[in-house]
Amino acid sequence: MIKFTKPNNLNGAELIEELQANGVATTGVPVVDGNNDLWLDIAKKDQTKAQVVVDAHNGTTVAPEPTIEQKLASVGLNLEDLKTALGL
Amino acid sequence: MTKARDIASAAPAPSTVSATELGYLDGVTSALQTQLDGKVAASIIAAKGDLIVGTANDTPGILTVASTAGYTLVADSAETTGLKWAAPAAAPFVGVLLTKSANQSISNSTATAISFNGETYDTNAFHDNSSNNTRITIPSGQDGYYLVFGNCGWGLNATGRREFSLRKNGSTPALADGGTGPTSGAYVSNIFSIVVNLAAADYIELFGFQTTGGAFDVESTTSLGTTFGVVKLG
Repeated sequence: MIKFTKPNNLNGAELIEELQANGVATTGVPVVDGNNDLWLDIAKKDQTKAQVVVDAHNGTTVAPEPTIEQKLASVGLNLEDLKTALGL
Repeated sequence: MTKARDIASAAPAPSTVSATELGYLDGVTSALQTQLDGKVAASIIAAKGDLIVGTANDTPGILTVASTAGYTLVADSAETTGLKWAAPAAAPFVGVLLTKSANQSISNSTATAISFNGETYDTNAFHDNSSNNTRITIPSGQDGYYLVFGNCGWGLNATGRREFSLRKNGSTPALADGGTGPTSGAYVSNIFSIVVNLAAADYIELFGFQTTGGAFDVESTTSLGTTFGVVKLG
């Protein structure tokens, strides 16, 4: 694990994608410790490349609105159930 | 020849005392009655479990057995015997229960140590509300098995998963982890408990993890019961 300064707008999933797109292999998920430092499980040889990616990272921090399908699924329904209930 | 044997051989033996019996006095060097008076009589024992104890210098006494099964003997200078029977003292409680007063934002897909700034109880300075306040650290002299428990309370969001992990000394693999997918209209609680062996200076932390796609809060103790604690088992 190698320590970095945590970006203000951190999105772990997007950061992993950005690291991989820049040839940095990672294992596990990004970790933020009690000192608010970011830790990435990457090879030491990739630290410089990873630093560039981390410095440039500006991730999504507002969760996207769930789709209709996701909202229905969360209560055990699907579009067909809804159509049936509405007589469509 | 001892004095007793001299007497036995020189004086006419009483009809009821044989020379053999007189010979039992061999080795006696002082008054027999005085010696007998100095011994504790078996008759002072009145019942099973009675204990012969000293009440003062050269003074034996009796401590009768406890009337309640399971009582143990403890020293008590206020008692005549200096001892008394008493219910076994309970082992001192050792543990900590942490709380947090505000929600904490957790980045998407990022395992994040959860901070705690309140203590419902902390018997042995396991935690500091401001310094390294994500940690429960085992104090010196408190090695042992601990019940570790806690909860990550998450608000309403229908997307992704809500997970926790319990890490020792900042390392992986986690001592425990788990999670669940939320359902709309339902809060998520990652409640856990595990017994682990911890040594002095070991520290444990609770990490939250979520995949809503954006930042999402682990909520405060008063909001959704996020807590973290340990109780020493022995």
